[in-house]
Amino acid sequence: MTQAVWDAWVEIATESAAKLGIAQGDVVRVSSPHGTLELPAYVSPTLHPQAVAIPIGHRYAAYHVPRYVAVSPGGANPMALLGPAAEPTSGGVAFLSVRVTLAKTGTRRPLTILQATHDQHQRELAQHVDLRAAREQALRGKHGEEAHVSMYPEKTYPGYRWGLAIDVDACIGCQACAVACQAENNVPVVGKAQAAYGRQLHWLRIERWAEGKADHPTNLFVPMLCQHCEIAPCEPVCPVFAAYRTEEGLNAQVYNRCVGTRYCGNNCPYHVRRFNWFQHEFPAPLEVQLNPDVTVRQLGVMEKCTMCVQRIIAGKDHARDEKRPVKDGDILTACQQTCPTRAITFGNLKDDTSTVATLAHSPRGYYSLEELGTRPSVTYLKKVVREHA
Amino acid sequence: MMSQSPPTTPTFADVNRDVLRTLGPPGNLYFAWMCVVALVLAWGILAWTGQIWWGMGMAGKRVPQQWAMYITTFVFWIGIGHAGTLISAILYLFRARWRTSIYRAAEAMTIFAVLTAGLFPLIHAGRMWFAYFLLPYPNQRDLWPNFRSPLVWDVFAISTYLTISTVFFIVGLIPDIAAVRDASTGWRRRIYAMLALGWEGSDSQWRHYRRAYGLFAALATPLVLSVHSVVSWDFAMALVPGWHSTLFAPFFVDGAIFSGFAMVLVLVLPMRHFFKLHAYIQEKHLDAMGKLILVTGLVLTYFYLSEIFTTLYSGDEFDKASLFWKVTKSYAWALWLMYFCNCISPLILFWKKARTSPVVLYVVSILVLIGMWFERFNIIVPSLGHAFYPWAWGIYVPTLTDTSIVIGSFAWFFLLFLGFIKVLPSLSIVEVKETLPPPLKDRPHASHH
Repeated sequence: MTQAVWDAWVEIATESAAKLGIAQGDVVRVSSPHGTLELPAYVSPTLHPQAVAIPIGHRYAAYHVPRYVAVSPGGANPMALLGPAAEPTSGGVAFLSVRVTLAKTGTRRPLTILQATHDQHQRELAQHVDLRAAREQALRGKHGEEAHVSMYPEKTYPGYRWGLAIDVDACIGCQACAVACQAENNVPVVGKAQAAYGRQLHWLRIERWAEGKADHPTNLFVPMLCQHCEIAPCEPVCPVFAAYRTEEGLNAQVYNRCVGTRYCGNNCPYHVRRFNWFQHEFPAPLEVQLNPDVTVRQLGVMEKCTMCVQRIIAGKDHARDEKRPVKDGDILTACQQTCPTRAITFGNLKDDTSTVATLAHSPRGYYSLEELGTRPSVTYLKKVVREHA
Repeated sequence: MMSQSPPTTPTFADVNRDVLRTLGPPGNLYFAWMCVVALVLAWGILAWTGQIWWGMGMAGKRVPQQWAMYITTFVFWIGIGHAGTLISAILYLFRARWRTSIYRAAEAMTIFAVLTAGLFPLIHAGRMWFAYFLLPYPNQRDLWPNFRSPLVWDVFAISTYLTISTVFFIVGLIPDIAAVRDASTGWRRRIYAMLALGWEGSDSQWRHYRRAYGLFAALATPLVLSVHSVVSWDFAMALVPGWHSTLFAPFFVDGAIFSGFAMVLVLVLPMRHFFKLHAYIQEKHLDAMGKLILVTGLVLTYFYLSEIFTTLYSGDEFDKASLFWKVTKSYAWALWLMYFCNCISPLILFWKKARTSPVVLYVVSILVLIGMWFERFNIIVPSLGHAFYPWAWGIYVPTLTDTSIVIGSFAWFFLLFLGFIKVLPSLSIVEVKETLPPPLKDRPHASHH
């Protein structure tokens, strides 16, 4: 997972790139016996030195989106590099491998990469645990949770308390959840230039963090979304109560009330509050795919993950019709519903028998930037890795 | 810059004549400056209009620098607005005689600076047309603003400050306006007569005037300390490494006075030169202001060192990373520029020769203003750019819109000030006279009637 958006790229291993004098963003001519392609280089520390990789499905020459980004010179359909012959054993298109040569063209086309750095700087955003330690923990359970010391009374929740558990061990970084969130919540597409400047509006993003040796690190994927903190830094700073806490533990954002001071965004340590820098349109036919249960936002307001509050309301209504409380599985968030590895679990944290509560108390559980005392409603589960010799 | 040798002691008549002369018909230079300032202001207004129309994205803000040049300039102008009240209230209460010839200009500067600063929360808001949500007005939704938010504290602090300093300014002006009224004719006389509120200079009027002035000085004094403390809490109350510090309130107040005095000099030195006020704004006045800049500059240097020390001593990795990034990476030039302007350049004022030289004072003041603008920039932009979450680390690049609006704010301020010096006496006739020996019986009584 590269975090590069809008443009296709050719992924080259760090060693090969160093040998050929290729830096990230240098346009490289990739030639196979069947054709050539010019693409900006993405230098990857994890790829095999003898391999290069090109994603399929990125901005075909004949199918670009001129509204958001100018057509790239030459197009980027990797099928051009592949021969027409079928693969002998399966009979399918031989689209996985072909021998290519690389040559620098001397021009540059910087890639738009959403993540500033893949180095965690020891901040433990993505955590892992050795297999043996994980086993031990699973047997013995976690150490007793530290008591929270405060001058203020504990928050109480009269009804439900919604929360998420996200298993970093299960996350494969496919980003289907990010797309699902975008579709479910009418999140606009901002275009290449704005995305390059940190103005994309994703409510949910996947981060890739490198861990271990610098040359061939282990990659950890972290889905990052509003943590719905119990002690949310964004709430007290909002001058107009646009950011406030609901009785069910959601950190809500009232778009109609938002003045756009962006104080909440500054004070959010996770940078999950996204601001509408412009009025984003949904030009025809995109307006047809808007979710009628979710409002579209005006320029100048802050927006962020709601834990799919529209689905929560629908789920509660459904349960009320059946005269019972909401039970596990009644409500699925869009990201949870879409996740192919079931890394995301939504549910009621107050109910000790719910899956999410069980996971939240798992020995592998941790909070992102726990030392800030924000007490998130999102629990991450550490990735289990093999022991490093 | 000295044009003539100052008369040893001006008489009361000289004071009236010299001050009223400043209100005479302006020359070409004045109109040229007015044109420049008005054009720059118009350009800034155009930029703001574009920003309202197309969205906040016209400015260079991004995640994570969701605050940038607007808040920088907001805090800068609030800071400028501090020297005026300090001079007029605190120095009045301490009976510092040297304030008499500069306090009027400094008070006007304060009001105009606060009026300029007050624009920025509006300019900065994503939906400025709803900025009134921050006011506690009665509404059918029964919604108050969030009194826990430092931005709401700002609303109260700044509106209080603007109110008190305006009232203080107007009260202090009454006897002077009466003097202008007596010297003018026609429609001007009618307007000044209205503004003079029937001032006749009777004993009871003077007694009330003195009492009111003293009371307002006492009221305004705590505001000198409180307003910028409240503004500093915009940052100190937040979590962001580089903001979250208990040092900020005194640190900001000192910086405000420092920059405010620099701005007073930037305004008063040309006034002295062009209006030939050397007899009133004497070297001893420049000397006193030079000393104040030096002292506040040294205190500021101490705060800078404490800030670095507490960061290193605390062992907070986030804070340390933020500091290291500021000192060495993308915005290091801004930080070192700030250290040079605010810590090194005022040191020249240790020499009395420098303190009494208008040229040296002017250069140092300009450097201090640059340094103080960058101080706020360095607090806001690099801190946000290197906070807790490395995913978003990065730099902010200003656009034409940001830059035009910020420069336009300077034009707005100077437009107001240029207007002021031709409409109201920019030197206090009353207080300057108080410092002079009273006229003797055998000399003509030149005081206003």
